[in-house]
Amino acid sequence: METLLSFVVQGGVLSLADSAINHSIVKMKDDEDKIMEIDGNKLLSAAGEAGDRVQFTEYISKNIKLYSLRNGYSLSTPASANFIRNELATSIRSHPYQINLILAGYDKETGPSLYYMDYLGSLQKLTFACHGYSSYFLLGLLDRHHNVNLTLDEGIALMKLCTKELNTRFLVSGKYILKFVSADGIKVIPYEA
Amino acid sequence: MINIDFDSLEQPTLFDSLASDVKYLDKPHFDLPPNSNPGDFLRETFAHPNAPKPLEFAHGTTTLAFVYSGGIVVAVDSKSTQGPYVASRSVKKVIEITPTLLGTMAGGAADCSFWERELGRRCRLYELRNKELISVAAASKILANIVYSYKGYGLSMGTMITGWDKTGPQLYYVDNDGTRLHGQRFSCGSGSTYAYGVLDSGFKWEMNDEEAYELGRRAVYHATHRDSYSGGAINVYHVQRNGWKKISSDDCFELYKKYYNIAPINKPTN
Amino acid sequence: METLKLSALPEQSKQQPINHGRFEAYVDNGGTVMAVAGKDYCVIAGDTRMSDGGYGIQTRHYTKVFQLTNKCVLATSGMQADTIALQKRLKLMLETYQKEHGKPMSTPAIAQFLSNTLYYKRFFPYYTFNLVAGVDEKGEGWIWTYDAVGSHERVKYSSQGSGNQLVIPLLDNQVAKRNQQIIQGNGDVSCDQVVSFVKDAITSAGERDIYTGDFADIVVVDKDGVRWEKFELKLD
Repeated sequence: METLLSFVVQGGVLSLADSAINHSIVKMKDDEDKIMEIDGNKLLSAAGEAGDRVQFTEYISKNIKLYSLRNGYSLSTPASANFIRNELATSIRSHPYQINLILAGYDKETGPSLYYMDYLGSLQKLTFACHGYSSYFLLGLLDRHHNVNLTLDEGIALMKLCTKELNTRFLVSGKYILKFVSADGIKVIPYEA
Repeated sequence: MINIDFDSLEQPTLFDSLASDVKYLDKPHFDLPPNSNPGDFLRETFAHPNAPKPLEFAHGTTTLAFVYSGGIVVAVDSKSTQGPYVASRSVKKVIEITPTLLGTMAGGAADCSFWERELGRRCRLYELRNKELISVAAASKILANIVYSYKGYGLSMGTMITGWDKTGPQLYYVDNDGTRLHGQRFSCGSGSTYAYGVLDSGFKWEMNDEEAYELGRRAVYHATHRDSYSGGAINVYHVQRNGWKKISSDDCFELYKKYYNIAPINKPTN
Repeated sequence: METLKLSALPEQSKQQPINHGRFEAYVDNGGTVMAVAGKDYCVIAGDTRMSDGGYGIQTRHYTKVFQLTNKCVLATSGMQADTIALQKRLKLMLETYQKEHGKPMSTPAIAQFLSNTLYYKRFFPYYTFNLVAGVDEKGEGWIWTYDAVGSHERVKYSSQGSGNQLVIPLLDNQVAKRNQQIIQGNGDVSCDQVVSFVKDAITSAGERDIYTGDFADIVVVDKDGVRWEKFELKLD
């Protein structure tokens, strides 16, 4: 019952993730950060099998860091997306990482971009993306209200609209973490659903 | 100096394979089941119509730990069950990993005690190599990485790793699917939901030590009262700045008499 | 990406999967073992019946108690084949230890060592239920009781095997004096008293458990070593 949601706005990408860790019927934690910050210009949101999330995102972020140390420049967002997809695709037949991902990033040359990935290794560049059961509620809403020319404030208002809908209609409700990546780097936006 | 390798000159003997087997036996290693995924092996084996009665491993049950102004309190029960059979009422479910680190036991008793013992060994090696104590974050991550590497093999453990390091009192939850969480309050095992009820409602940050011990004790006590898989005695530990300290060990029935002020029925008072 | 393996223990690379079709790994040959520790001694009893997993009896003379050192014995019920494998493995390792250290392994060390040995078979366990009984370096008698994968506890009395559930309430009551309405005496009992009590207990198991019977090995371990005695149970 995890929620990942990201969309592109003017000059950046907003990424939202729920912050709960649930085990069967127990809420173990409600302030877990599921959006990993990579290289200061990329946000990797992940959700899925317990244990796999931390192991996989740490593996990815350390390798992207290693790349920048070896080469003196960072992997671009699309290059990172393809690298991550490749890792998922090569592991699927032997030791699958059962996690779904959204990669959001900002590159100087190409501006904001957003990539949707699932654990099977599919990859798609989108303007908004959502993982989990909440997508059944949010995709329609975003089709109706989202466009890439929203300002940051309008984007945050749209996020509010989304979480409000989840709290109205979705079985589970809880706390969320919101981050914004833009030319100025990554910013954590204090968020009350 | 040049070393010449004479190995190729040696004639193979009848006993080579035997010798390598013995050499192999000497090294600790895990035997894996043939023709089966380790995680499914036991279930498949005992699903056969003429298989003997399934192996029941000892299981542990209500454990909790929480951080408060005075450090960390760890409280656990002491009952061990194999299916419905009570294997023991006197299990030590708080595992003393090192003089500064504590772990708790829930799930498979053998899994918890073996791997937390191994963790203790690695923490001691870290200490000898680096001339400083390992952080709780690092220790818990070692354990999480071990169990993650055995994911799908059927390990069963839910454990809290606690200690007081340079960054203050720290509490981590680690379980067999590789989850590792940092937090203020955790409870684990079949009685955990009952314990959470008491713990969450009675918790405040500012407590004196006695209040904190009593909160932990009460939470586990109420879990033992509702959950048949929990019971025995309640052990309370306190994690302090310079190491942990065992606080108390009280029989559940004695606590029952104390909390409810009830004289035992049909029992001579001597 | 390389598989993440952070185990301290080397991977077993030579093991190949064998396709048996239907692989039945275990049989329970039954039997009861029990042990009671006194101040400076231990009394161990194990019946000698070996069943075929059903109603058949394969032998009436299979002894379940195995001497590890002259201060320590191992009593095992469960599957006989696994028991033999375990006994051979322990014997080999203890002999190696004796040669390397010039002295036999102490009883508490054996107890931990058995735990590890059982845990190394965590993913393909020995179908065995074990007791280690002996005297430690201070001369005190102790029992260690195990589950199949090495969880263990040091206790003063225990039993394992098919008659366990019949015997253990008797031990709880008479040895630990637990759940007694009136407790007499200070609990100090002589070795001879314990021996006759243990004989009663295993006889009781033989009365009500079809997998227990024929004969019993009664073994006493103290500072003078290990003494064996045979005792008759019912043969039916």
